[in-house]
Amino acid sequence: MSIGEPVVPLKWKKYLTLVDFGFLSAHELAADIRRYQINNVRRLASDLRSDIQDDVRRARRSFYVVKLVPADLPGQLPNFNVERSSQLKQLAPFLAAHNSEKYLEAWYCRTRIDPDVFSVAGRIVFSAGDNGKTQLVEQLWRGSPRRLETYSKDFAFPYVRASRYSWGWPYSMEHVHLPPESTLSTSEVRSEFGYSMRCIEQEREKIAAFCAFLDSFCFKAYSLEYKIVGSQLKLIDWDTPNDTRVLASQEFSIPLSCD
Amino acid sequence: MLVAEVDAVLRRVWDAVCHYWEPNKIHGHGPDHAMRVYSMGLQLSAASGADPLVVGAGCYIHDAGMRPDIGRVGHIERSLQIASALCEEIPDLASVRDLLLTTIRYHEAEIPFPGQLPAEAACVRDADTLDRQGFTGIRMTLQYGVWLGRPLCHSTDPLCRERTPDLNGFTMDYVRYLESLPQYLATPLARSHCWQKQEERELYCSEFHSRFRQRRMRDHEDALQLVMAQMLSESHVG
Repeated sequence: MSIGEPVVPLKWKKYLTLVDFGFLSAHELAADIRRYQINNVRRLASDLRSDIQDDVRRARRSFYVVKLVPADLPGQLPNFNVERSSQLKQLAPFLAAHNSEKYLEAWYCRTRIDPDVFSVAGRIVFSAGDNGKTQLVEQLWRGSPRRLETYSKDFAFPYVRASRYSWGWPYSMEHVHLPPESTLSTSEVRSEFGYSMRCIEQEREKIAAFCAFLDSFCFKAYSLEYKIVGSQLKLIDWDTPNDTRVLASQEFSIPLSCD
Repeated sequence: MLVAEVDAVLRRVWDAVCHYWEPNKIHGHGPDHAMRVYSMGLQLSAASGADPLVVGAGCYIHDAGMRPDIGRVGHIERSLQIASALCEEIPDLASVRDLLLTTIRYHEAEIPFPGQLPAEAACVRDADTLDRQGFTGIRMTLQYGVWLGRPLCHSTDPLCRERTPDLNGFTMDYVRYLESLPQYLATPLARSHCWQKQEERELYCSEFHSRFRQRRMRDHEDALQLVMAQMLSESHVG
């Protein structure tokens, strides 16, 4: 369900920037992110339940992330993760816990994580680091990239951290983590990481153009988040030290490009 | 716990979190900040009788949630998540979980605490506040300003003599703002250490202003060179 847009949340504008740079179409974006007005979260819960039931019927596994979205925050929004219908009963307390805050919309998105489907998510930090390495990648298997923020020895997902000097250079693997219950071996993780990076390399031109745009703001670092399901790479988000400044420049550029 | 046991747990905590700090060197909040706060935190805990395990772990984790791409935004929440995960992993931390999370949740001097702050939380908070003062604080603030792409200072009133600091506007405004933090220091030892930090800030601001008037303070690079030179000079005197 799409809604009218009297106020476009800053987070949505960030996603639209990915459309502007050709990473996905507006139609794909609208299909990937289901948006609901905050007073219509019952509908969100109902649609989410239907999607999970649909997964069960098709013998698929997905995880869903519900996000609460205010008008003016570009990131770090409250998230609620769901994989099974039974977890939906925690959704109401999650919404109630944030009831007093000013959220305009609630969104949810889905990622397939069936064991027989290749599914990874990660973040590339582009920076002017003092060791000369300008690209740092963290990637996990079958989970949300937000989980990267809580990596520890007990981490429940296979995880890789790697870095390289720049485009075209090989990655040096800095850390590989396999949880005890992982069905992947270290060599499989390394191999799948290599495959993931080749998928990213195929989008190099677009990514480099986007990076050149962000470089124009003279930030020392920024990041892109991605997920790869099957063979499909999707750039799903980006972060900079000052997203508002970046988006303001975009708004300014729109009328100019229309002239 | 024996001192050696506390040390062993704290080493384990550092091993688990150091990779979070490393990339944050880019905005001045790298491992060196963790180490200075840790060292000061343990001094404050020894003076006040606070639990060194909680203080040490709190110091090692307090800013671990910062990120090289988005910096401070949401960092306390992420640091809390990191601490929670470590409490699951390290049994000695599990027994002090609530207190450890309190030290992290309230580590910034500006965050009001309801009621009396536990001694351990006061130590972590004061240790961090002290590191945000003086030369170390000025250097971190300048590095953060470079990373953020924020202008160095106002064109006619660089040190906010006749303005309210505009924290998002100018890096030097943030440096001036940091002067307001010592009032929040809770431990006597931190308050006594703060005098030296204030002297460092006065020395820096005085020289900054002099160079600014001579048009020798053009950008963050000039401002960083000044603080590095003063730090070097201070270490030779010491």
